[in-house]
Amino acid sequence: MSRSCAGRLCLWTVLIACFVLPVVYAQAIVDFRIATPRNFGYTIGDRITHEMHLVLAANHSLDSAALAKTGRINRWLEIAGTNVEIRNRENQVRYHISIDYLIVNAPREPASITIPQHEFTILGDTSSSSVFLPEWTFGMGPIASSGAEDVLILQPDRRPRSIPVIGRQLRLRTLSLILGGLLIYLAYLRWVLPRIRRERFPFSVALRKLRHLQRSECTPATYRRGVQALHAAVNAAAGQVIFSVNLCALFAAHPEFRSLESDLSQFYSRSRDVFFNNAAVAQPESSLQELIDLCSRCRTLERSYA
Amino acid sequence: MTVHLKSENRLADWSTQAQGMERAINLVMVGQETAVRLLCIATFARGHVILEGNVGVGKTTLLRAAARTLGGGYERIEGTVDLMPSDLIYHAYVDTNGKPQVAPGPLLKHGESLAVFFFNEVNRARPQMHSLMLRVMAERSVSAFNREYRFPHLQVFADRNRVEREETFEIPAAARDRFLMEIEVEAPQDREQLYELMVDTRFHDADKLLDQVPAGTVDYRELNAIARTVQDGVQTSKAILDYAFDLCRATSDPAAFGIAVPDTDMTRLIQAGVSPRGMSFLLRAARVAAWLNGRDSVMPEDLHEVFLATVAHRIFFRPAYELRRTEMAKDLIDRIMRSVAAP
Repeated sequence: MSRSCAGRLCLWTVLIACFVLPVVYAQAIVDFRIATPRNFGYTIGDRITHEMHLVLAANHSLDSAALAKTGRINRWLEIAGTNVEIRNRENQVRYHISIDYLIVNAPREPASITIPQHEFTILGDTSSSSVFLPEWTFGMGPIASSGAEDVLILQPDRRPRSIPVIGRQLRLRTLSLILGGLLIYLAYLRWVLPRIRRERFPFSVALRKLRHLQRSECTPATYRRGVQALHAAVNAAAGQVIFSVNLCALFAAHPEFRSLESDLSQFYSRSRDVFFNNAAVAQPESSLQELIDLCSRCRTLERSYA
Repeated sequence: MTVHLKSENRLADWSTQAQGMERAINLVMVGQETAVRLLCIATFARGHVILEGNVGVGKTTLLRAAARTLGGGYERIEGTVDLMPSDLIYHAYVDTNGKPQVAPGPLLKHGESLAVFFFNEVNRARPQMHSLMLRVMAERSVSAFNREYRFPHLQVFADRNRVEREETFEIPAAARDRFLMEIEVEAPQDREQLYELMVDTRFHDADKLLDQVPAGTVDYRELNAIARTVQDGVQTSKAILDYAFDLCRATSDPAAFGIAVPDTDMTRLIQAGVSPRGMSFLLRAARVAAWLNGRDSVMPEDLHEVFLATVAHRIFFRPAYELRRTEMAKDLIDRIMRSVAAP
């Protein structure tokens, strides 16, 4: 507790001669007053300051050797410091002494603690006398209330105060977000987009359609739709409509298909028979499977050279 | 079955004659194989033909050679700005006795045996002439001297040069639509062929040159029967009919078929596409092409062979594009053939 606070809360107790007269000579001591703070509500770590105002007659002085020494005075208290101010005025010597007690222990239960009496020696020209700072009792409490055992056990260390890093965190998160997005975009460009594109390649589309047709009932009409799907794929790959007479346009646009020239020529020949010569489709199921095989080979080439 | 086989045999015989006719014309025409083939197709499809090309590329020679191979009556008239329909119908003159006489004009002179009527520089004639020709081409008949003259074997050949446009009259759409084909005749691109045309004296005198063409390779009186047999005998599957139909529809609405011509607003390009008559002409020509190619069914390449010649002059562009008709039509048709799928 600070000195000013103690000053506000304490009651000035003026101990006049009736307390001290029995122990001092009236001629030596002109004035003697003591100020103490409140006498309750203390606990370990608090400070209690006693102030003493002493006016001595001329030719008298306070024995400095008798001043309180810093250090432990009992189980509960230690003198943290002593301050003496001396002023000489009108044949008088004025002392302002303040003794700072530090409470260094805490009781388990609320307790009354006593600051022991302190004696000051006054030296005169021919004799000496004493003045006593009387003992002073105050109430002190434990740090934790009794019965709250959980607070008696060792508590974890207090976490260090965090450095204000909100700005950095924000920047870091933003950067992480951008980097994450960039990585996702790169992954999309590197893996996802090519895959999507591959799935949209003409022969991939045609193969899906052919397999779908294969799952349905296989009739000559189904086979014709399959042939049309493969035609559409060839046309899309070549960028123009391809007929048997201009298959070379496909090979010019995609030389990789040249390895399938004979298969594709057969396919076109068969297609002409079915669509333009009204030839019957004898075995639609196996014929559709042949279409799937051819389309699958075309798709492999298409993907290899994409 | 017997009838069918008989028909097949006749078709085969006639095919030999047709090939003979083609070879005969190619004897005197250098580097014009495509034009000759198209002319033969038109002849066996019984369609009228207009030739277009620059001056001196052999249009007239080609038509005269074709007329010679067919035999029959042949008449030729030059389109001029003062030519009137009566000039084709009759000829008024004063005979040696000083009496005025009226004789049949070039159109009536041969009667029903008129096989080829060659209208040179047709776009120099006035619209009145075009109207007369319109009827002659459509109905193969004309009214004169209070009676109707019929020309059952008539095939009209016309030509126009594309160099001169002054003092010419554009052939109306209805007349153009009556022509089965508009065949473009270009000078040969091959250096050797051009060189041959320049140095070989055989080509310097057209009359002598045409004497080399065997006359009457095909009997013109049989042409109608041949055409009917070909149209009946050559098969067209549903797929090829659909394809031909789509090709024609694409000329009306190319954008619907995903066709785009660079720097062209496709929604404002076409005023009218191929007419229903044009559609039927296309199929008729394609059947003949298939027959001449030795097939009994029409294939896409048969349609392709005749598509440009049969369709280009039937597409009517909006005025903004009409001036570039030749290039635009060729480009558009090329794109149509590369975009419309079959099957």
